[in-house]
Amino acid sequence: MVIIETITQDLSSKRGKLDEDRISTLPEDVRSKILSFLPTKTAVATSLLSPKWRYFWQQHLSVLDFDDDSFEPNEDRFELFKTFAVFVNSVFLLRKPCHVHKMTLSCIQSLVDDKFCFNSVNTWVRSVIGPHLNDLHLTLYSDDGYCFEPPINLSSCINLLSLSLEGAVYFNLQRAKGIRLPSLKKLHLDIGYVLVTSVSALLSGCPILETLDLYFETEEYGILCVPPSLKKLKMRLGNGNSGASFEIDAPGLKYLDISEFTFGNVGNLQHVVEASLNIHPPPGAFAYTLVKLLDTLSGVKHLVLCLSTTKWLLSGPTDLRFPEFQHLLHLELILPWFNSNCLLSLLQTCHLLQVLIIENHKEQSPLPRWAAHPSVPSCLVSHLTFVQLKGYRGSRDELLFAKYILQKGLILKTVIIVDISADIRKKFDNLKRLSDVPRASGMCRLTYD
Amino acid sequence: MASSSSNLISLKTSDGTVFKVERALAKTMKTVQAIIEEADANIYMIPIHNVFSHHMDMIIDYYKLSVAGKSKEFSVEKLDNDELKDFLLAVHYLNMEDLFEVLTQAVADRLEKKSVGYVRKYFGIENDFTPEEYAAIRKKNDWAFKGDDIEPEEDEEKQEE
Repeated sequence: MVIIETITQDLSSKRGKLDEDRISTLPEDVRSKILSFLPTKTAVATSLLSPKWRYFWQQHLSVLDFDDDSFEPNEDRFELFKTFAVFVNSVFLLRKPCHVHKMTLSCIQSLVDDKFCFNSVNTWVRSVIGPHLNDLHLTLYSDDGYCFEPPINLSSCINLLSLSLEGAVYFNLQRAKGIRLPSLKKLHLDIGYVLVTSVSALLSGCPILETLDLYFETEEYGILCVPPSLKKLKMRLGNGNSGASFEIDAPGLKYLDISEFTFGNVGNLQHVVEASLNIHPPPGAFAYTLVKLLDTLSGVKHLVLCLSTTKWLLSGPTDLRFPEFQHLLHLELILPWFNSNCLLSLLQTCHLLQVLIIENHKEQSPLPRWAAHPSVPSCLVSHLTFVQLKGYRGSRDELLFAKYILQKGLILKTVIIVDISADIRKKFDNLKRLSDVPRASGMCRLTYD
Repeated sequence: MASSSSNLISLKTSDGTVFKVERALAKTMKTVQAIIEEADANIYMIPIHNVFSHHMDMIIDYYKLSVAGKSKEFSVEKLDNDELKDFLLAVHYLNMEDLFEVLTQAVADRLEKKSVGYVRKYFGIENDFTPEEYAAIRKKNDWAFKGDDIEPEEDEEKQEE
């Protein structure tokens, strides 16, 4: 701990004298550092500040940040791109040729399917690629057929730490296999259609990757393999259940968020602290397989199970042994339909649970039927303080569950019910039924919406 | 080097206040670290010019947050522009890499999208362009100013925070 003993000896302030020296000008390296945080258009505008500043930006531009959105909007997108290109090219020409260590290029208004656009963007990217580049962020949107393909010589960026590709970006398998990024720690891909195998190939060229944020669309049944070095993983498929699955063997993984993939294969995930799963079952797989996955998440503290996962779980078989969640504090479930017996059985194994949030979608009728568990879940007695039920309609089973929680929750502080009944009278009825229930916890507040 | 029983370094700010800080914190100040390493005998008190006690308070706040992994919670919003500049210079003098980055980013955020007149005032830059020179640069480099409305004659008194 930091211990501070202030022994005030001389209280006379010498501040007035230092004022003049410090505020008049900042040292060159400080000014240069500030410039590196400004969008390049603003940095260039500093040439208007005073004669001393006129050429300053040219000498000190190692960080480039170009944004076509900062130019006067033009209905003719190609005209806008040309104005933007004049700016970017002039900056490249006039700046002192020092190494660029970070470039951000954002074209969201102006890209069209024209050779000029292709050549310009490719040239700009090519001119910063090299061993000095640490950060590259490309945001290239076009609803006109323009598409960017990362060049193979991206591999010369041996010190690239962070790469972000967003929008109209595509790479085929061949290209992906040829790209090697040995220093890359952070990768963000938010793109359209690409093959799963191409993404896997790209990832295999990033051996020390720690943070991966992936969003793409595919139609392939491929398996996505991620680097074992990962600490944080978020991957979503944009076009729903395509059958693509995954293989994750990353012993250091702490954070996991998967959506719309089909369950594949996982190694030990005991260090994962926070997980969100929206996973489809492989064809013919019972929920035993899902339990195997949840078993590996033995250290998880914060867990969200979304529709596809909970549908899989609730479909049984009903003699399912639920995984022991020894460390789980926060659980969120988005349910396809409500089943209080299944929920109470699940709660039996969440001994330390403090927060429970359930969202009911009621897509279909509650089958199969789960057996009621005889004992009260221990978390209800000792740890659960917050419960929220969303999508409440006041059905018999929902009411049963809500009543049970209120009657047995010894240390409950907050219970929030979000009722979506269309009929006001029904809502009032539901509210009355719940507020009449005797509560085990003296400090329990019931909030009804 | 200093005896192992002492894990605290004494730093004396310009307004005469003495702070006893953990060695680990002193290590993040490269200027202070250099002084410690150069001294042969035990050093009792290291004077840090250009740094005032209110700066040290904030530096210690930042250090506590970053040790707890919460450096993103550190905020300089409550500082006015002059105070922020002062603080930036103090941290620059102490050569503290991480905090320096945080503060320059904060300054850049406050300058972004502001007019030329505002930026001049902020840095205390004297505008020694003649109106003709100014107009000439704007015209010559008009590729750089497309979409901006920077007027040649600005009333700097009108600039607001």
